Amino acid sequence: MSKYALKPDELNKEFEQKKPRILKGEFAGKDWWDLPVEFRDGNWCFPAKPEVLEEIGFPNPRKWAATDADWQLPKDWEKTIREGMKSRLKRFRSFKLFMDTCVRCGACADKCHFFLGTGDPKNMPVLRAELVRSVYRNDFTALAKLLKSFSGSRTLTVEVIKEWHMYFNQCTECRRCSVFCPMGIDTAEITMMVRELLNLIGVNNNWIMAPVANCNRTGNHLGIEPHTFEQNVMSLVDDIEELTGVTVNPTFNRKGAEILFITPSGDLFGDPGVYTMMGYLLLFHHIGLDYTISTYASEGGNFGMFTSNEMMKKLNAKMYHEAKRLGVKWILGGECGHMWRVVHQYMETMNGPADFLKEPVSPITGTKFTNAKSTRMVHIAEFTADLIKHGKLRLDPKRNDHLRTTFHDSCNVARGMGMFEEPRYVLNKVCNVFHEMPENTIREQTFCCGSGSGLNAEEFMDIRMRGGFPRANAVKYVKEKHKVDSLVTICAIDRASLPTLMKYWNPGVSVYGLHELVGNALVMEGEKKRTEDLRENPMAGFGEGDDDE
Amino acid sequence: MTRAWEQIIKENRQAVLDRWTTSVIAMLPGSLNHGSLVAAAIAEELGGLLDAVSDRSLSATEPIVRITRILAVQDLPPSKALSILFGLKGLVDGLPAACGEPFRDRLEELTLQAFDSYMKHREAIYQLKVDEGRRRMHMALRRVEA
Repeated sequence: MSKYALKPDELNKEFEQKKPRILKGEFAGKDWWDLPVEFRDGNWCFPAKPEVLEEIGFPNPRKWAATDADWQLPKDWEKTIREGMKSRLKRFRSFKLFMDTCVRCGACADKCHFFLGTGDPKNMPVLRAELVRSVYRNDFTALAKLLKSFSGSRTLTVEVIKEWHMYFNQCTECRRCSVFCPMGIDTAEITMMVRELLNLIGVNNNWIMAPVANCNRTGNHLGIEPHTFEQNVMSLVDDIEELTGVTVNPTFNRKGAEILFITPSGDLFGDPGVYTMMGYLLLFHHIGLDYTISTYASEGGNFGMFTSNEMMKKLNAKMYHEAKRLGVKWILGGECGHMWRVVHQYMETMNGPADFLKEPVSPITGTKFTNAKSTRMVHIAEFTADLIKHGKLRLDPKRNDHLRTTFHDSCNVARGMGMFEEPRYVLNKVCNVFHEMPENTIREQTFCCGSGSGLNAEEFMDIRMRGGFPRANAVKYVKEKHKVDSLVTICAIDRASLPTLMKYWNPGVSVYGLHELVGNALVMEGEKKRTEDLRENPMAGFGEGDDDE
Repeated sequence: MTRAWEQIIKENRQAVLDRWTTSVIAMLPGSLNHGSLVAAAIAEELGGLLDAVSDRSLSATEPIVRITRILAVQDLPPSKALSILFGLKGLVDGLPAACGEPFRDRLEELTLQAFDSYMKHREAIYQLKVDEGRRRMHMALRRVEA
């Protein structure tokens, strides 16, 4: 080594003197790891109930709370975490790469909605990743271990686990930061790895684990049994008949149907998701689609993605299983966010190849969906855009004139599969008033709703409102500038969480699914005079005395 | 003749506003980052609130509603969140002693208004939890109510 090279202690001294300090105020002069982690009401999600973990065979079932001093971790929890990390570094090359390649340039720092909404430096993606990278350096890289404080490495302690639980549950895996990372680091995948590690020692979230257990048992997150599932759909069929005079005829578990339709279970159970489901049913009836709905593969979403790779794979497998059992040609998927990240990026390698299915071809237009050649599963927005493009739908966009819309790109559909144009194309054909939010808040730069990746828990409301603030702020802009009152989206979690976010930050803005507006605009054969939309709200200019021709 | 405190604030508006903005943002848990979106949103509203402090003909309602909506979901105890107006007291230079009392009265009046607004937002949070639960169980409730 050169005689001019600084010795480790000299290097350390110089670094301490010259390094930039990001912390100010009462923490000025301190390091990020000196910032305390304090769980208070509103900033943590309830942990999984013991019976939920027992049902799916996950470790360390017990009653505990994040505010407890003792989290009742298993006896050898350090060993479990270290071995878990070692195994994942070996199995997932991306994890190893993301641990090694960050140059701390800070390009991601102000891109995270949680950072923008909370101002907490540990919510800067670079620093959130550093929470685990610091342990990685200490345990897996010899040089960093020697140059401990210089390299920012630290020992694994209970406090570190608490910090991981706090901040990897303030990441919705939306990947906005990854768009700006010059090294291509995907912080969402780091979060996925850390949540896996935490699950190994029983540190978890009931809002994630209960749906996982439900889905494992019944096929959907809500735990809806097959007969209830069917009854719910038929109840919506009755609503459609009452509103439009048209009787739609969905079928269930029908062998030999051409297409299997799978959508998030929220569309069959929650408000406003059910109105989107009504839109699908009207659309399929309108074009005479030969489709069936499975009461077993009754969930498009996959909370396994927020738990472990193995659980994600297991919960996803039912899609292909059911498609094979029913003998369909291909699968059509409804509006969802993370469902499409799983389908688009992981399904084919996890559970494929689906060589028993055909390359998807629209039976109405003959269009080949070559982009879905490997997964054999088509997104409903692409399917509908293609129908409209070929003039196969009779639409009256005036039926949505009571709505002034904007479009929220769902993170996983936008950044996970690059779909920006199709939903906008459909929206512009089914309504007359549409305004974009500012450029840096849409498409690949879209802001998360603040409640994705299983963080939509009620007890987590304060953090959700903070995390959703950047999105709400963008909606406020179009509300004030263009009098927008309707936020349209193509994600079930968005439909569940954005109404709450809007009511708090932007009262007067309602949330709609794209296909709800399609359902409003469809002119159905044999329909009665339409005066109300699918929510039974009056349409503008379609009252009893108005001429709608 | 002693100048009115309102006049002093108006004459020094920008300097007072800058000091006030800095002190309010420093109070936030995100004070570590002055450029955060939340800090910017609060700073945007403080100007309107300062104008309403010194001019009774201007409505303080809207800036108070907007600021307390942000503060009500921050990691701050209510006492600290609602101390923002009192924080203005020490920030106006050259305020004659005789002006102290009417100035304090005005700040107390607006603080009570902010208290009402803050509580409304907290109530809204609890109502949103209930509403969200109901929306999630929409179809089950329909069956029960049928």
